[in-house]
Amino acid sequence: MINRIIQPPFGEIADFNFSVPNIFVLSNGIKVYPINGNYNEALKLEICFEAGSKFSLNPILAIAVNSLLTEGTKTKNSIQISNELDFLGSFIEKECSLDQAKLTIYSQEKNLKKILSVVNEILDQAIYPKNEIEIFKNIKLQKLQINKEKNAWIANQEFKKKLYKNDHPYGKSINEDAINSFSSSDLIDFYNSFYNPENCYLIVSGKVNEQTLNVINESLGQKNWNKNSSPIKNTITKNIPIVSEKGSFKFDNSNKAQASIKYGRVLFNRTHPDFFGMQVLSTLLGGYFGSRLMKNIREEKGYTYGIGSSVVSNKDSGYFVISTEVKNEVKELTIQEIEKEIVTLQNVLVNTEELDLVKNYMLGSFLRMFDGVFSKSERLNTLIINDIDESHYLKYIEKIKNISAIELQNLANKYLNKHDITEIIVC
Amino acid sequence: MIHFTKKILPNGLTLIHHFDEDTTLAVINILYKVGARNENPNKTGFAHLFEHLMFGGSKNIPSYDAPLQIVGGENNAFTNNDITNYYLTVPANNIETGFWLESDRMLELDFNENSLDVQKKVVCEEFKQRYLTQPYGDAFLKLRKLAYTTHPYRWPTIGMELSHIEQANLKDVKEFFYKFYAPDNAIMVVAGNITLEKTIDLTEKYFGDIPNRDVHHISLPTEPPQIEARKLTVKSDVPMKAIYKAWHMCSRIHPDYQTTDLISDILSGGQSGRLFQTLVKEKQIFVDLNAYITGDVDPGLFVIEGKLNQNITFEIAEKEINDILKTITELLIEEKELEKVKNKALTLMAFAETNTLNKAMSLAFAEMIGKIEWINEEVELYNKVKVEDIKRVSNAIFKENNCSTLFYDTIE
Repeated sequence: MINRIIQPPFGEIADFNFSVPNIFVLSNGIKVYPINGNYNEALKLEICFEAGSKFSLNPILAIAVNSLLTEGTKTKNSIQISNELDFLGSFIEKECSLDQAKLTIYSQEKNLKKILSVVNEILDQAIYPKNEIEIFKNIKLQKLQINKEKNAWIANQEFKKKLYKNDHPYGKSINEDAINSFSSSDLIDFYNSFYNPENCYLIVSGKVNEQTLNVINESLGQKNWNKNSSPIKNTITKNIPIVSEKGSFKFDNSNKAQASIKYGRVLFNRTHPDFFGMQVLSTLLGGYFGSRLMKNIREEKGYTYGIGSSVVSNKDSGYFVISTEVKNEVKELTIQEIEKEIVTLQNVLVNTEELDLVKNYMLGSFLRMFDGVFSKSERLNTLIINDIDESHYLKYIEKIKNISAIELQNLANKYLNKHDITEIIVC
Repeated sequence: MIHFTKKILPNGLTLIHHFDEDTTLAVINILYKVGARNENPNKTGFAHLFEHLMFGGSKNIPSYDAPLQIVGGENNAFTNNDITNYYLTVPANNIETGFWLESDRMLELDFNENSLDVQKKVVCEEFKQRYLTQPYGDAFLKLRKLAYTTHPYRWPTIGMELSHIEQANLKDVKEFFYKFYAPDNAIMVVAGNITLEKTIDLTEKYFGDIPNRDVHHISLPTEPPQIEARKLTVKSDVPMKAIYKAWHMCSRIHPDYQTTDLISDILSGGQSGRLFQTLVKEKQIFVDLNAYITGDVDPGLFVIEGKLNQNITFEIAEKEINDILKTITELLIEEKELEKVKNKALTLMAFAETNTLNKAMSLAFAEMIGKIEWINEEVELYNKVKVEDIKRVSNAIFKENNCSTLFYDTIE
């Protein structure tokens, strides 16, 4: 008979395996980071530009530039471009975050050469046709109306606005005015200034060999994408000091079955010495299924389907946030319980058993976060965006292993005081 | 190519092993052959509620999560109309804890009132969060009810109504467990950096003595062929009109399944899909329009859903969709267009082979539908589809009397 009561013995959790790959430089100076995986055909190519929404005064401008890249060039219209890219079996994903704009191509390696000949033209000669812009604006306006029905969406917008006031680019939200107020020439100006080899790097992962790199060089490496304009580098964020409005704010929406809650504050980016410690503290409080908030608010009280906390980091700043959707009748009680859990963190040292559990859980998460080349490419991109080296992850893991209960208590006292908190309730 | 080994234990548990040396992790994926389709029509949402209870402690282990977290593991589960699927990933050297945890909850749950009470509340909040407070969130609930008269696919996984969940009691929970949670009703996939020998040893050690529960699946009522178009209009506080059209299609293992999947790609796969190109971009009838198949084990639904542009009536919107459908039912599509959607399907399949957990889930599902060999051979089934098949199957599906239409109207 086996013993079903006692957990089987277990070992230490291995360290993740990661190093920044050797850079391959294209003829026109673009850096390529190749991450080879043992796959048949799958290949992911990320074309990254330091051209996120923080670089435009109108927050949707950078998003539109990215999104409409594939809607027309000097020789091809939107239908031709999508037909060609689809025929080659590729999937194109366009993303624009606060810091970065990105074009990701998922394809089979054997089709890369043909795909890149289309992509090269997009990057060199996009024209932003007026009719495509009108369609884009109309769709955005209508989707905005749908988002405005969602408590969680409103809560998130209002939370960012309070955290980053005075038109700070990290706090801006997209409204009707923003959508209506840009023109084709605004898009072309931004495109000419930011979509340049000097402002670009590539991460290629999956089936990557020397020949793959040559194929990339023969297309994306040859042109200078000469748009007769030098890149404009960001000055916007650094000039606007971060000012948050603290306190509790309620917003009415017609949706009364549940209330959406955001509770948090501005912190710092990844380079701050307390970044790692706050990640551990946030995990303990609300960052995993067995966290204190999940246990209390979901597993004991059944107020919600889920509650979580996280430390979000962007290049110039970051923040701490607790998010949940709760039964409307218990929204105040939920806030009380959140605050009770924070006071406990401030006053009572976490015991060894719980701290070890959180540490091991996080070490396991690290293995998952670096499992497979496509995950590794995401971790690498985080380093590049934030302009930090690979020792970042090693320091992170050392901190997880070594952090003490007292350090966590100190962090809770330093960063989670009620008078520093912005709280948003939408229902 | 995904290599795997299959073995059935004397108690009926199906074990599938897949070795993957490129990962530092190991995965256990257990699929129980029970989903919302196996529920009593008066107690819908139960399979999913039960999934929540599986995390409330088992016979010998009071907490499922903590022992897994301490070894660096993570887990989750999902329920759909056909299956309930539990999965965990853990650093490969600590996989034994996974076997210990999963086997104990297959052996017997800790049935307790408190866990049931709390999870009922949690699921009710999930119901609200995902279906009731989202704009258009209840559309699919209404569409199922319209499209099916008989088959249990007529209710969604979350349940037909909140009261069904609120009324669940401990007696129901116990009955459900012994009826469906058994080695002879489960498919376990162990994948990742773990050898076949170790997998078999640990499986026999932890699962070998769980009794066979002689699970019998009663055959489910068959949906009769739809002989008349069904239409329903609902009004809700949403910003724009939406239309949902659903046609009955074949089952997951029917020879026309892959053709049907490619038809949905021709209509809506990527920017060049016919619906998007013509009705969103060219004519601007819709601001959003998609075609997809539900992919259920039993005969499922082919769905087209879209949000109407301002000032467009339901009549125009519906006619425009039907006109696009005529372009594939009345004419043969060009070879090149078929090649396009096949190429896209091949890319998706190439990526599906790059993630261990993904592979484990796919293996379990393929085994569940009795087609484990499809894990490597389904590519061929897609490749074999001809332009004539696209036309033939389109004609079989897109008949007016085979269609249910939900008009989701705004409150003016």
